[in-house]
Amino acid sequence: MASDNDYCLQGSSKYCIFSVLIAKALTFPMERKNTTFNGFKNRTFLAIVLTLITSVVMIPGMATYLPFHKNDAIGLPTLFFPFIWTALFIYSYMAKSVTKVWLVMATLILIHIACIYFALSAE
Amino acid sequence: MKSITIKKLYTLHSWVGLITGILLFVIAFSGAVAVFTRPELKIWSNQEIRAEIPIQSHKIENTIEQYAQKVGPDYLEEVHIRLPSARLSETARVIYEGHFETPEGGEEHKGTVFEFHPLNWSLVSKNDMDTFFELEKYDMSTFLAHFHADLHLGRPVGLILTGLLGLTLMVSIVTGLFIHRKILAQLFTFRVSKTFSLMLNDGHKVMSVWAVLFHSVIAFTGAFLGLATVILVPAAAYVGFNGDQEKLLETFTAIKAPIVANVAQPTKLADIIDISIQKRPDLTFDNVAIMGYGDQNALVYISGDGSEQLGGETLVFHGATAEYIRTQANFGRLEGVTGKILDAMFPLHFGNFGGLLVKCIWAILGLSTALVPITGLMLWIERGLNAQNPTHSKRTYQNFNKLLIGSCGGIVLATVALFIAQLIFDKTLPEQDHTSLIFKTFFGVWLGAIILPFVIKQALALKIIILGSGLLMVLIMPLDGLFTGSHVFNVFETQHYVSVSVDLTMLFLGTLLLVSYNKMSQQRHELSTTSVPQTAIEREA
Repeated sequence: MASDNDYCLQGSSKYCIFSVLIAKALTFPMERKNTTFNGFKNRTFLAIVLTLITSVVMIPGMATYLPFHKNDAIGLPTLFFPFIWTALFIYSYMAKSVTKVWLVMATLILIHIACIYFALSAE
Repeated sequence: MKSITIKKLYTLHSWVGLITGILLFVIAFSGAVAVFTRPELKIWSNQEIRAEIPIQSHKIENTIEQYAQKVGPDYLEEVHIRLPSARLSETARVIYEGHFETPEGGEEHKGTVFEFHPLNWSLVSKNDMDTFFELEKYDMSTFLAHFHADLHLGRPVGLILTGLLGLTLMVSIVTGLFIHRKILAQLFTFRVSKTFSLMLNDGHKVMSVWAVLFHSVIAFTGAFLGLATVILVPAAAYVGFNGDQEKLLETFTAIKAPIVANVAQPTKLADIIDISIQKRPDLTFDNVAIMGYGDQNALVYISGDGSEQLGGETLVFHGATAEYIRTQANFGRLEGVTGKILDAMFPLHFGNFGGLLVKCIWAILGLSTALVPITGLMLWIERGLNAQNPTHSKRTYQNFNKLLIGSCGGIVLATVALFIAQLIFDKTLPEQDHTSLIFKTFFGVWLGAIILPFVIKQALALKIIILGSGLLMVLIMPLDGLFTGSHVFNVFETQHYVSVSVDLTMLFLGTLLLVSYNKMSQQRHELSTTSVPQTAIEREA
C-alpha cells in the first residue's frame, strides 16, 4: 500500500506541495493520522483539484462525441457536470488505490482534450 | 457492503458536512426566505406596489414612444420593458439599447435605462446601462435574493462558492444514502423523549430521508445555477462555438432580432399588450422585449408566468401589425431535451411554478435542508464532548459550538432585522437609497451574533438570539401598521393583501418561536431538577 510520501516520490513535487497545502487547510476534522484512507493527502488533492479539472474538461470534450442533436450534445454535458463531479469526488476517496484514481482522471482528461483538439482542428 | 467501505463513506460524509455545514445552513436558510423574494417580499418592502397595479397599455405605448424620440434611432434596436403590473420591481423599467461597432471590429451594447413610477409613469431616474447595472439599488428583498445567489461576495467568486456548495451537498446526499441503508425503518423513527443525542440523530435522519428528493433537486439545480455562467457555459462554448459565449447564448436565447427593413412604421404596443391579456388570461405578464422598435419588421416578445409551462411562456407578435405569430417557451422551443430541462431549473430551485402552496412547501423543505447539516454538526459536537478519547480537545468542540450558535442563529436574527430596518429606513429616510444601510444592518447584526457566544455564556447568547428573532418577528406587524398605515383592519380598503399576509406570517412565526422556546426552557428546567443527566452541549453551555 503506497503512503503519501511514497506517492510524492513518484509524482511531481509541485503537485505534491500543492496537495499537502490543500490537505492541511481542509483536514481540520482529521487532525490525527488518518487510518481510514491511505494516501489521504493525495486523495484530497485529487478530489478537490483534479476532479474539478476533469469534469470541466469533459464538458466540451463530450460535446464532440455525444450522438445527439447539436443542442443536446452541447447542453447535456453541462447538465451532467454535477453528477460527474460528485462521482469523481467520491471515487477519489473510495478507490482502493490512489494510483488508479490518478490514472482514471489522467485518462479522462487526455481523451477529452484529444477530442477537443481534433474537433477544433477539423473545423 | 464491506464495513471498511461504510466506514470510508461515513468518514467522508461527516468530513464534508463538517467543512461545509455552517455555510450550507446559511445558503439553505437564505434560500428558504428567497423563495418569497419575488414578488411577495418585493411587494412588502415597497409601498408603491403594495396594491394591485393595472396594466395601462396606452400609457405604456405613449411613454415608450415619447422616450424613443428622446434617445434617438441608434438606441431602438432593442427596447426592454419591465411591466409594473407584475410587481417584480419597485419601478417600471425601460431600457433602450443599441449595438455599436468597436474600433477592434467587435460589437458593443450601449443603452439608457429609464425608471418610471409604477402607477403614473412619471420619470424617476435616468442612467446609462452600465452605470445602472453596476450601481444596483437594494431593498431587503433584493438583498436577500442576491445573498442567496452569491453571498454578496461578487461574481464569479460568490457564484462559484454557492455552486460548489451544491456539489458538496450532492456528495453528502450520496454518501448519506449509502450509510443509512435502512431508509424505510428510519422514515418512522423519531425518539423525541429519549436522550438529546438520539433526538438529534433521529432528526438528522428523518429530515434527510423524507426530503431526500427535494435535497437532491436543490443540490443539482443549485450547483448548475451557481456554476452555469462562470464555468459551464464558457466550457460548453469552447468547442461548439469556438469559445464564443455570446454566439452560444444567442443560439439558446429565445429573443431573436428581426432583419430590420429600415422602413419606419409605429410599433402597436398597446394593441399587443391588450391582445396578450385577452389571449392568455392565465399568464402574469412581466417583461416586453421589442426588437427593432419603430421598424416595419419589428418583433415584440411579451413574457409571462403562471401557466403549466415551467420557466414561463413568451408570446411573439409582429410589431407593426400586432399580428400574433406564436407562443414559445424560453429554452423549451429548442430541439432536444436540454431546453426543457433548462426551463425547469429555475422554477425547481425556487419553487415558483405552482402558486403560493408550492412556494410554502419549498420554504418548509428548504428549512429542512438547512437543519440537516446543523443536526449533523450538533451530533458531532455532542459525540465529541461525550467521547472517552475524543479526536479534538474539549475547547475545540466548545468553540465550534459557539461558532455554530453565532453564525447560524445570527443569520436568522439578521434576516429578521432587515424587515424592521426596511420599515425604519422607509419612514425616516424616504426617497433615499437604502442599499448601504441594508448592508450595514444585515452584516452588523450577523457579526454581532457571531461574536456574542464568545464574549458571554453561550446559553445566554442562544437565548438572546432566539428571543431577539422572535420579538423582532412579532414587532413587524405593529411597526408596519404604525409607519405605513397598512394593517389587517383596513386591508379591504387598501387592498394590500400580500404585504398584510407577510405581516401575519411573521407574527405567527415569531409567536411560534417564542412559545417553542418557552416550552423547551420549561422542559429543560424540569429535567435539570430531576436526576436525568443533561446533554453534553448543555453541560458545556
